[in-house]
Amino acid sequence: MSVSVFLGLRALRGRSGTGRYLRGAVAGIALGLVPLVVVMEVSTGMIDGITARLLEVGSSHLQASLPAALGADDLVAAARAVERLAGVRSATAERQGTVLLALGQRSAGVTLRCVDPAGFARDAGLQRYLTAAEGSLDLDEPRTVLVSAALARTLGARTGDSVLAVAGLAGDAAVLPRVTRLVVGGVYETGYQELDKAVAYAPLADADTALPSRGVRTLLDVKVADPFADLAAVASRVAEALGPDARVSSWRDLERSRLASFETTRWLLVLIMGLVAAVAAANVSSTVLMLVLERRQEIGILLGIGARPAVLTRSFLLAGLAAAAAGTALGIAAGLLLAVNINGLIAVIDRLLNFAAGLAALARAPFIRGGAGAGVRLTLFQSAYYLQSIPVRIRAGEVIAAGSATLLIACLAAYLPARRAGLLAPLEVLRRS
Amino acid sequence: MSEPMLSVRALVRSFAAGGEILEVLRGVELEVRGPASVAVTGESGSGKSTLLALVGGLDRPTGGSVVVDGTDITALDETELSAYRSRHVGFVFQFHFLLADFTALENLLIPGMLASRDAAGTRERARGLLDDVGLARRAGAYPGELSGGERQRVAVARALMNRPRLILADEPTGNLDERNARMVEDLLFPLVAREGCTLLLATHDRALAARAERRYELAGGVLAPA
Repeated sequence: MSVSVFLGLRALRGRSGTGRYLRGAVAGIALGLVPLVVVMEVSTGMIDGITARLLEVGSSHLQASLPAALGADDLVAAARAVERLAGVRSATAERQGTVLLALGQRSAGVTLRCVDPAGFARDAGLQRYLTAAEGSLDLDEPRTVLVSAALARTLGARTGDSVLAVAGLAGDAAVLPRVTRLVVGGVYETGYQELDKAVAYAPLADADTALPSRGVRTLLDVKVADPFADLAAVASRVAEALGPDARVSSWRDLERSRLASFETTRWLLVLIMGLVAAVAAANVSSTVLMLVLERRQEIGILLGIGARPAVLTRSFLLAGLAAAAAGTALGIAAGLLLAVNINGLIAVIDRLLNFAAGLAALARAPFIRGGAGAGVRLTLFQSAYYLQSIPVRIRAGEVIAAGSATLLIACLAAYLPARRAGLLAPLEVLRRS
Repeated sequence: MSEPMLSVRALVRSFAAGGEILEVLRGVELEVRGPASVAVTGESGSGKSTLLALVGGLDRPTGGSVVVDGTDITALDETELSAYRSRHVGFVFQFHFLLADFTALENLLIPGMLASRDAAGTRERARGLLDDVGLARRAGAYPGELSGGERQRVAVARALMNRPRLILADEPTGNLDERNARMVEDLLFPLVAREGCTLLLATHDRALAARAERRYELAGGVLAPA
């Protein structure tokens, strides 16, 4: 073992008590890194989860807009033709438009997606994220409608209920309402209410009666083998197969602004948390400085018996780095542990918050006329705006980069005070001792 | 005639104090050939410690030269001076100056490590020296667990670790009671003789100085035979 390592490691567990500074630095760096790792991994999982749902349930990988005049049979035939193209996994014929769904006194404006039932059932990606909360999710029966759980709550609808789809029918001088009765065949969830709260599915055959006469979009929802690859070539093949009237867009074009907004928010959070971690890492500087000041006599003795200044600089740098490495390892481990258990943690915090709120309500009850009442249920995260369950995905590269950056900052921060150790005049230190 | 082991020529050391120049050493001359024990006596503040610091490369003179084994150490840079202190000089101070976080054995190993000696040889040498100073059984004790006399005996052993040519002892018994002082003296002189080192001893203890082969008196910044 080199003498620098020997001296540096001993400083970590110094009997003279200076090790407490290094233990403080370890704790500081670990605490600084925990929020960074949690934010990185949770936001990555969140964005990946939302992106996957947008791709599979929302915009599809490629979306081909076709003329509204295209008949249903021709639309399904076009979907079959596209499915045979290289790189295409599935294609589903769809017409969509805005209607008012009503049940009793309740109603909601929704996008009604009238899809080819066979294509709908074959779309593995869609089926993966569309889970049945109630009933079944097939559209084989005509006049069936599948509503999201959020929509079902809004309408107070259950499987088997009849709902009215009110669509605008353009006349000569005015828009007249056209009403179609649909039966709720099932209630679905995607896990991302922002995506499904105003969407309902119906068979393609009902599009002519249930959708308005204007503003209907005729589409092919195309899924490819790898949506994250360059889609230009497959998009070009789809466009060529559909002819000049088709306009093909990739999910990157359709969801660009939304995904850019997610990424910007994520990086902003990572930057803020990164600053916290960087400040904690830079704090190693004051730790090493304190170490040098408290170990002046030892430095003087070592210089006196022939230690080169570089040996002392290295030993203090190593002590600082060892503390930073320990803090980094602890912080990353704790951050990952919290990140992978974030759903459970949120549930526990929710329960604690509500327990505390319940206690507060009980304490207030004697002073409130009529008692405390039922109180309001507190929710840490409104799942209406986020995923109901956060799918945490660990990106090893990002974690390693965060750890390496922390160590680099700590190393740079520790260098100047460590160098100061080597610059002390031994005779001066020994005389003062 | 062989080259002197230590040659101090016209050594001057002055300090600026309160706007005045205080000349502590005013042309000190000293020559030592071969292994010998040399005592420098003088009153407190006479410059004994300053002379030892200059010979040990812990300080730089205002003028003159210190030549050890043919090398003028006043011309060495900091890194060369570190190597000189590590390989050619052993220090015994009035205060033991052991490293508090290291055991007695480790305190001896560190000079060996600093001089890049081989690990096995260094360990063997350190254990041997601890045995020589009667502390083989206290090798694992930390300085805080040793008595004052034991600490100073460890300091003597440490000074000898790298088989230096020169041992510089500055009031080595000044902090010890009579019994421990005699014990350290009784170890220091024979060990230095056995190792073939030259001992340069600064003390105001005339009894201790009497044990040296040559004695000098430092007064008024000038060294003269006592």
